[in-house]
Amino acid sequence: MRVSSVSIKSFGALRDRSYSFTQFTVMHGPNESGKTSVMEAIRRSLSPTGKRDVYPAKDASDSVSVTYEEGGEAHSAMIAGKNARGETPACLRTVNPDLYRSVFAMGPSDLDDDGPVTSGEVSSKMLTIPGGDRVPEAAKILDGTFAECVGEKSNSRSALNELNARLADVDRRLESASEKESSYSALASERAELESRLVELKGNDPELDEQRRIWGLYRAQRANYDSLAATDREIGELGDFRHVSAEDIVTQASLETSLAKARGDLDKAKTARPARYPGGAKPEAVGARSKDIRRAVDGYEGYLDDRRAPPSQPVSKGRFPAIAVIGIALAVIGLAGCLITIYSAALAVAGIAVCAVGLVRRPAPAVAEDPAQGRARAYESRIRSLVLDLGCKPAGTDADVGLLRDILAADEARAPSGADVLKATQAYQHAKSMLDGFYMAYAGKEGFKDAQAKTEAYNVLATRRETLAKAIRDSGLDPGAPVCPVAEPPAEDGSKELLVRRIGEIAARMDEILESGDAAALRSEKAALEDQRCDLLVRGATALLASRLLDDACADLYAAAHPGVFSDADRYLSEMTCGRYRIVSDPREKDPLRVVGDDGSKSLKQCSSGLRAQALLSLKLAVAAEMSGGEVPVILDDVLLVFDTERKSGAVRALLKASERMQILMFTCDDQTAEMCRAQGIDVQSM
Amino acid sequence: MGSTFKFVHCADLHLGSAVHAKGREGALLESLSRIVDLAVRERADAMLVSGDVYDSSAASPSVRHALAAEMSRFGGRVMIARGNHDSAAPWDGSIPYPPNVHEFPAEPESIVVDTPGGQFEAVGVSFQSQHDGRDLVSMLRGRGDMFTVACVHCDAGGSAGYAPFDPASLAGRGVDYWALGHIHKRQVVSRDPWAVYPGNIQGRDMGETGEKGAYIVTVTDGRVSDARFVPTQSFCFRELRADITGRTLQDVESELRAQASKGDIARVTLSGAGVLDGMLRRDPADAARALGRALGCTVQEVRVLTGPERSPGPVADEVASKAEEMAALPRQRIMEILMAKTMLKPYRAYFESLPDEEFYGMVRGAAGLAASALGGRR
Repeated sequence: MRVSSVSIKSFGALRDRSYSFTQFTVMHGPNESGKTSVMEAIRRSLSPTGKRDVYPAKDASDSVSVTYEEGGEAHSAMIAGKNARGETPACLRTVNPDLYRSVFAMGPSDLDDDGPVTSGEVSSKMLTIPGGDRVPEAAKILDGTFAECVGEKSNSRSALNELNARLADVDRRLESASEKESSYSALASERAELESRLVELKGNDPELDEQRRIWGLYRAQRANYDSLAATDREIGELGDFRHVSAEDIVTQASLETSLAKARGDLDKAKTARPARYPGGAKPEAVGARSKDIRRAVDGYEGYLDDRRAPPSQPVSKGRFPAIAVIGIALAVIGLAGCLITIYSAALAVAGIAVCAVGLVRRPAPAVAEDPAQGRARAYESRIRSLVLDLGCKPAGTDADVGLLRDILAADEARAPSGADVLKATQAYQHAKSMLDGFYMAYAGKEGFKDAQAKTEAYNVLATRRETLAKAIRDSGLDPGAPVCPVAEPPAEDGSKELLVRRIGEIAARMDEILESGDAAALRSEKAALEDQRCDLLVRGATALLASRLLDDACADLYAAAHPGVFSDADRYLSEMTCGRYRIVSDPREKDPLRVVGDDGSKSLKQCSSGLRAQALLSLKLAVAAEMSGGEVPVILDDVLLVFDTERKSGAVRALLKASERMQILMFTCDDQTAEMCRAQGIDVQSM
Repeated sequence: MGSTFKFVHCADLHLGSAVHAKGREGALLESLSRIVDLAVRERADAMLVSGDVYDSSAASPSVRHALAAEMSRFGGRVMIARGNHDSAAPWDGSIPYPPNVHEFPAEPESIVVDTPGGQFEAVGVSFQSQHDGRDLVSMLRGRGDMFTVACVHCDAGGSAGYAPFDPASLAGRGVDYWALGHIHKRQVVSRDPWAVYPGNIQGRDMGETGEKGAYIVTVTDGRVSDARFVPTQSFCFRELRADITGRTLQDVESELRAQASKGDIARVTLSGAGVLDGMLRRDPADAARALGRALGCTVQEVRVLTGPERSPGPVADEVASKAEEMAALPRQRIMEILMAKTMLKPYRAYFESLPDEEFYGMVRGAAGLAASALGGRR
C-alpha cells in the first residue's frame, strides 16, 4: 500500500489543504504549520481510533480524504465528522490501532517507549522464540552449576578448587608418611649390621664375656644382697619368742570377752535389789549403806543401855593455864631487874605478853557431861541422818530403828539367792582360769602383748626378705651365696653397650612404623578425594555441555524464526551510529534485545536516551517492515530532532534504505534535516 | 592311582593399594585373611599365588608383615610367582617370607610337593622386572608322571611387556591346572587343561565391580574333580542402573535393590524421563544418601542422566535434537568444547580416559540437565 495524497477540507485548524506523496516524502515546515495535524489526519483515516484524547480533537466538521493504492487499485479512506468512512486498507485491518500508532506512525515520544516492541505481541512474535523467556533462568542454572563444580579460575570459589586444596594437603601428609615407611629398609639393614658387629664383639673372648656377665649380675644384685643381710640381722635382733598365731589372737580376744562377761554377771548377781522397801526407802541408797544400816540396828541394844544409865557428877573445873604462870614469873623477874638495868623492862614486857597469851588461849571452861548420854545422843543423830539418807521420814529413834530393821529384813529376804551368786562366781572363776591358762604359755598377759608386737615386726621383715630373695633368684643367682664367684673383670670400652642400646632404639622405630597404618589410610583418603574430583569434573563438564547445547538450540531457533528483524534493525542502527553500535538478540539475557558497542552489551533501558531513540527507531522500522511485509507506510513526526548532526545524517541514510522496502512520510520542522534529505535526493515539500 | 589333595588359587592381591572407599582401607587384608580362613577350613594342602602380591614395590612394611603372618597362619605350602607389580620389592631381606612360602625364580623351576594324599608337581616362573616380554607360559612344562600345577602371571590378551601368551598354547604342555594371574576379572580360560584367572581378591574402585575371591580346587586321583570360586571380598563395588520413566521412587529402589547387596559401595546411574527428574536434580547428594539408606549400601554417586517428564517447550526440544547431533560428534570435537575452559585443561587425560559410554553419558546428562533447567528447576 502506498498513500498517494491527502485532501483536507477541515481538520483541526487546517482548512482546504492537499498534499501528494512519493515513496519517501519529507514535509518540512515551521512549528504551527500543521505537520502534526496532517499526520494525524492520515493516520486517523487509515486506522480509526476509538480514543478521545487525541490531537486535534475530533470534531463534527472534520472532513479528510486519503487516497492510497493497494493491490494495484486506488482506494480512498475518509474522515467525515467524528467517524471514519470509506475503505480502511486491507493490510491494516488486523493491526491493533495502538500498535499502528506506535510502530507505523511514530512521534518523538514513541522513541522513548520500548514497550510495544519488547513486550506483548511484537515481542513474542518477532523478537523472541516460544519458551525463550525461560532461557535466561536456565542458562543461569547451567552456568551456576559449572561455576559451583569447577569455577572459572584457580582461585574461584568452587568445589573443584576446594577439593584440590584438600588433595594437596593429603599429598603433603602422604609424602611424610611414605618417607617414614621408606626408612624401614634403611633401619632394617642398619640393625642387621649392628647385630653382626655385636656378634663379632661377643665372639672375641667367651670366657671374659662369661666373667663379665656373672660379675655384672652380682654387681646388679649387690644392693639386694646387702638389704637381705640387713633384714636377716633385724630378724635376729627380735630374738626367740613365741609367734602369736592368728588363732591365738582370736582365742585371746574371745577369752577376754568371756571373762569380762562373767565379771559383769557376778556383779549383777551380787547387787541385785528388790524394787521397793518399807517406808519408801530408795533401793540404791539401801544398796550403798547396807553396812551402816546393819551397824545401826546392831548398836540399838548399846544405845538403850546408855539411855538407861544414871547421870554422873560434874568434876571438871577451869585451870589457870601454865603459860600464864610462866609469863607472870618472867614479868616479875623483869620488873625486879629494872632496878639494876632499864633493859630488864623488856623482859618484864615479854613476861606480861606471855601471860596474856596464856590467858587468851585458855580453853572455855568445859561443861562437864556424862559419856553414856553423849553416846546415846550421837546414836540418835546417826539414826536420824541415816533415815534421811535413805529417803525416809524420821519418826523418832525407836521407830526409825524399827524401820531400818524392816528394811534390812526386806533386803535380806529379797536379795539374790546365794546359789545364783555362787554360780556366777564359779563361772567367773572358770573364765579367769581359762584366760590365765592361755597367758601362761606367753608368761602372762604382758608376755602375750610383747610376743604379739614381735610377731608383727617379724612378718614385715619376712615379707621384705622374700621379695629380695626372689629378685636375686630371678636374676639367676642364689640368695644364699652373696659372694661373687669370679674375680672382677677388666673394664670394658663401652662399645657393646652402645651397640645394644642403638639396636634397641632401631627396633623400637621399626615397630612403630609397622604399627602405624598412616600411609595406607592416607592413600585411601586420597583415592576417595580423587574419585570425588572425577565426579565433580563429570558434573561440571555436563553442565558446560548443557550450556553449549542451550546456546546452540537458541541460536538455531532465533535464526530460523525471524532472520529479518534483527539483521534489518542491526543494519539501520549501524547506519545511524556510523558503525559504532549494533543491535543483537541474546536469548541468555532477561532483556534479549541488546545494543552492543565498544562499551559492551546493554539492554535498551541501559542506553542513553539518544542511543535508545536510535535503537528503537531502527527496531521499529525493522518490525514495521517485517510485520507488514513493506505494505504499510511508515509516518514519522520529527523523530530525528534529538539526534546530533552526524547521527541525523546517518538516520537519513537509514531511512533512505528503509524506504526501499516501504513508503516513508516524514514531517519535520528541522531545517538541517530537510537540507540533508534534499542532499540525498529525497522529495522535500514545504508546508 | 594319582594323588588326591586340595589347593587354593588366588592372584592379584595388590596388597597396599588404595581402596577407593573412605575408611575401608583394610579391605584387601581382610579378603586375604578370609582366603586363609578358607584354606584352613577346607584343609587345603597348598596355596598358589599367581603374582601381583603387592601393588607396588613401595608396599608398606606393615603390609608385608601382615602377609607373612597370614602365610604362617595357613602353615601349608605356599607358592608365589611374582608379577609385574611386585617384580622388585626392596624389603624382602628385612621382612622375609615364613619358611612354608616358596617363591619361584625368574627362570622356570619345578618342585615336588608332598601331601598326605600323594605328591604333585608345581612349576612356575616369576617376572624378572616390571615389564617382561617373555612368553612365560611357553617356558613351563610338566613332567608328566604326576599332577602338575603351573603358577604364572601372564596376559591372555597378549599385551606386550606383560608376558603375553596364546591360550591355545596352554594345552599339550603336561600341565593339569594353570594357576594364572594378571587379569582382574575372573575367568576360566580353559577346562582341558584347567586354566583359571581367579581375578583380584577385592574390588578397589568402580572399575572392579562384583564379587572377588579365590578358587578352591580339589584334585582326586590325579584329576581336577572340583574347581569352585569362593567370594572373600570385604565388600563389593557395584554399578547399578535404573530407568525412571513412568516410575515412582519405590519402583526405582526395588529395581536397584535387586542388583545390590548390603554393605556394597554403589554408583547409581539413572536414565529415562519422568517426574523423579526434578527431585533427583534438586540435590543429587541427598538422593545418594536416601538411596543408600534404602538399599543398605554406600551410594558413592548418583549419575542423573534423566530428563523431565514432559518437554518444557520448543527450546528444550531443540536442545534434545542438538544433543543428538552432539552425541554423533567424534570425541575430539566434544573435547574441544571442554578444553576451552581453562579450569578443565589440566584434566584432559582424565576425560580422554573415560570409556565411550561414560563420555557420551555426559552429553545425555547435559540434555537432561538443560531440559530440567528449562522446566524451571527451583
